[in-house]
Amino acid sequence: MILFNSLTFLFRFFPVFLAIYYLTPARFREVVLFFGSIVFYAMGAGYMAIMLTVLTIANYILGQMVFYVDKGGVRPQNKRAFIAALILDVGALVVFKALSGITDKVVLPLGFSFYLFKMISYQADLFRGEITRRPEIMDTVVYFTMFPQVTQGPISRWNSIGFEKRDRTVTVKAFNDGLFFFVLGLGMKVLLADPLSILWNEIGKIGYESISTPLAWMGAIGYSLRLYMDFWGYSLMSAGIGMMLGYHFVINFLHPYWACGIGDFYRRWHATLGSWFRDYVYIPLGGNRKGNLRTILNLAVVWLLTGLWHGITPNFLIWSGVLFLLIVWEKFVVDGLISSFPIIGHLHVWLLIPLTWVIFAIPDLSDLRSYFMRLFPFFGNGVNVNSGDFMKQLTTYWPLLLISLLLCTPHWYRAIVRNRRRLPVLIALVIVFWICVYRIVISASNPFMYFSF
Amino acid sequence: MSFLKLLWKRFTLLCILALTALPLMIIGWTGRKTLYSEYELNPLRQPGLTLVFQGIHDGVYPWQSLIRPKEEGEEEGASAADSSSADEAAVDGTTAGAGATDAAAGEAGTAEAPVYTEAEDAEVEEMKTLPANAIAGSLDVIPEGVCNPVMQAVDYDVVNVGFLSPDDTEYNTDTEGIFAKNGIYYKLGLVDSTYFTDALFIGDSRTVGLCEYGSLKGTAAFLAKESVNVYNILDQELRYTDHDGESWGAYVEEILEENQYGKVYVALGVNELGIGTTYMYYEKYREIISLIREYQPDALIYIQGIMHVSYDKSSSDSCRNNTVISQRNMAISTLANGRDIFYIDMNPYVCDEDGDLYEDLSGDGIHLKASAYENWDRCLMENAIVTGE
Repeated sequence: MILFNSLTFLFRFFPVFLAIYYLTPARFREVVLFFGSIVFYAMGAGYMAIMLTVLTIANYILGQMVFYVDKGGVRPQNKRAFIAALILDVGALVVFKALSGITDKVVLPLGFSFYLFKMISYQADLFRGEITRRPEIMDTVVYFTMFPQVTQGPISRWNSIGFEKRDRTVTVKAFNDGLFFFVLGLGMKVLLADPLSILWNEIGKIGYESISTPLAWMGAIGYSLRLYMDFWGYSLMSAGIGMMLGYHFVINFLHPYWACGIGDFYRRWHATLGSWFRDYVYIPLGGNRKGNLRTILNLAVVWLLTGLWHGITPNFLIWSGVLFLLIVWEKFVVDGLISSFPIIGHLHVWLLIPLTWVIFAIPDLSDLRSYFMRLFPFFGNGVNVNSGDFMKQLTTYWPLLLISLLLCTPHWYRAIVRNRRRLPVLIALVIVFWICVYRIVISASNPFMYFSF
Repeated sequence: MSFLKLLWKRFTLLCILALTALPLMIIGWTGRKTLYSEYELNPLRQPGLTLVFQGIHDGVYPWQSLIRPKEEGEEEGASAADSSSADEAAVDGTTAGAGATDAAAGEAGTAEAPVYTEAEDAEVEEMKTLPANAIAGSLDVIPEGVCNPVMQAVDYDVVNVGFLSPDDTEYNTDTEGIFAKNGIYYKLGLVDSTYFTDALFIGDSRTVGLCEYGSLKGTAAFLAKESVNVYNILDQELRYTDHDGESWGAYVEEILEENQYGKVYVALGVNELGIGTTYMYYEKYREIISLIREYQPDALIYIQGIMHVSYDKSSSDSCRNNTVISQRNMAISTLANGRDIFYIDMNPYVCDEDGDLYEDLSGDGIHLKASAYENWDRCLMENAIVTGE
């Protein structure tokens, strides 16, 4: 698998690709990007690249039919082509998700739901006339396959990433900023998220029924931070690469832990997924314009789909169900209260979101029950609990937890970004880069780096 | 010049990255045949500069190529995995008529301490003072019951044979100086927790778990740390927890030198599964046992077989699987003599009939859960030697 945080990507694929990309005249760069992306994808997913290519071409052809212009220059809606496209994309998604959930023999192709979500939004935008100019073939295939986004998103929109611009000229500023965000994201992933994931392993190793209550809470917070650093770091790397290729920065995370309320949190967390569900499910269903009951029903549909999208084990359904209830609670019960006392909204985020991540993290329901029994030890004691476990883990993990917590506040991140052209910041970033390389080298040659016994 | 200035001004970050990468690349590439000759480099997948980082991790620093002659540099560069070469030095052979070590030791026992075997009266006399589990020696083969059998496991055919040694490997059990002299065999039997008041447990994270979650904390002493293995255990500070449950950092030799124990339990082997072959592991293990014997001449030494891993791990991991573990347990079990060095195997207490660790006893397939350490405790109490001294 070729990841952004692998040696092969950092020192082989990416520099070679960039050199070819920049040496190619700007108007042919999309061809380079398409072939580069297919190579990148094939390195990770092998023959599954064929499926990506076939779906890409099929969606281009169907899209051309959806974007129908009659002789008078009017665009009547071509329902048939749109429905055909939906059947293809949604059908592929449902079939593969279901099969991979039921049997071990079918593996979901790498990045499958990310690129299919892009394809669905593309067809819908064409159908609704939001894409105003007929898409060119190279623009389209690059949009679906571009390697910065093909494996883990973000689910960028045709209109938002800069596809309306034909020429892929890259400014010096965009290049520098792109490189900056890439290294910053790499640091978050390799130096914060990966080591923090060991904390979660440690807790699993002890067994949920035997952790002390403080450690249970530390685990919930540690997991929340790890998930954030991992996904945000990845999104920054992806956005950075995009900028270096001449595309717009894609915002996927907007300081979610600074949000005021659960609803707000999910507008800021994995924002491209949330807005996808909003624009292509929630609003077409009527959104909040058809009365409270319909609003609640529409929210239920969105969260049910969100749960299923993440996985079909029961914990994901509980996770999304709880979030649905919390959002309804916020929207219809405590809305006024949160407006007057924003701290209540913040407390929702800080206390409830980590608990929902625990549900997200533990697929087995009896394990989940054990964990919550330790979080809230009112219903009995744990089994063979060592009360010293919290201090032991805290002595190891406090620096990682602290830095991650600081990065959760917008202030620190913004201060870094504001000063991104200053030499001390750049030097610090280069140091971060080489420490990352060190960690990657060691973990590549030593499978026990993260799992030393 | 002005071009460079412009380049620096416009692409500062890229320039710093390139300027720092350049020396690393030069060091890596020039050193790849000398300083870093131990490491594999696939230039298609990774750049030469990664060698420098790998070296730093193993304590091989770039400047060593400047200060020291190359050969020595290479020796330094030998990573833990290649430590077999120097091992022979550990055994200074004074072995007359080699053969099976147990037999040799048995004969020695007959010759030097005839009291046990020559005169029947003497033997009877001796038996009275000996505990019930003692068996008078001069047997060529270790009797049954003095050590645990090595638990075998189903081979799921995922093994990377690089971590194994050939089946016909002969293990050099000729360990003069770490064997008992009196020629008495003892059988494993049942004891209670007071037995462990003079015991020391040495090991890796599994022993850390035993200390934290087993019932012997505050009774036995523990010297353990996550990630240690036979290759590095002597070089680093471990966590020592004494008989009262107080703990501090300490080195193995330091602790062995300062205290005398009645029993020393060793459990090492899980971190080595991805390093070297069975034989290399065995050789290092033997050195450690010899070292313990040197500092603790009167202690019973228990070699604890490596605990197996779960089916999920064993059937998918090319190094952390029960096939490798069983072979390594076979190897270290040959070090036991049934007299003062014993092999005990906890696997029957925690494994199914395929030899796989029960999934519900482990959160990660490798360690016991906190609630499952009682199985290990039970194994220890049911497989103990009472010498009657």
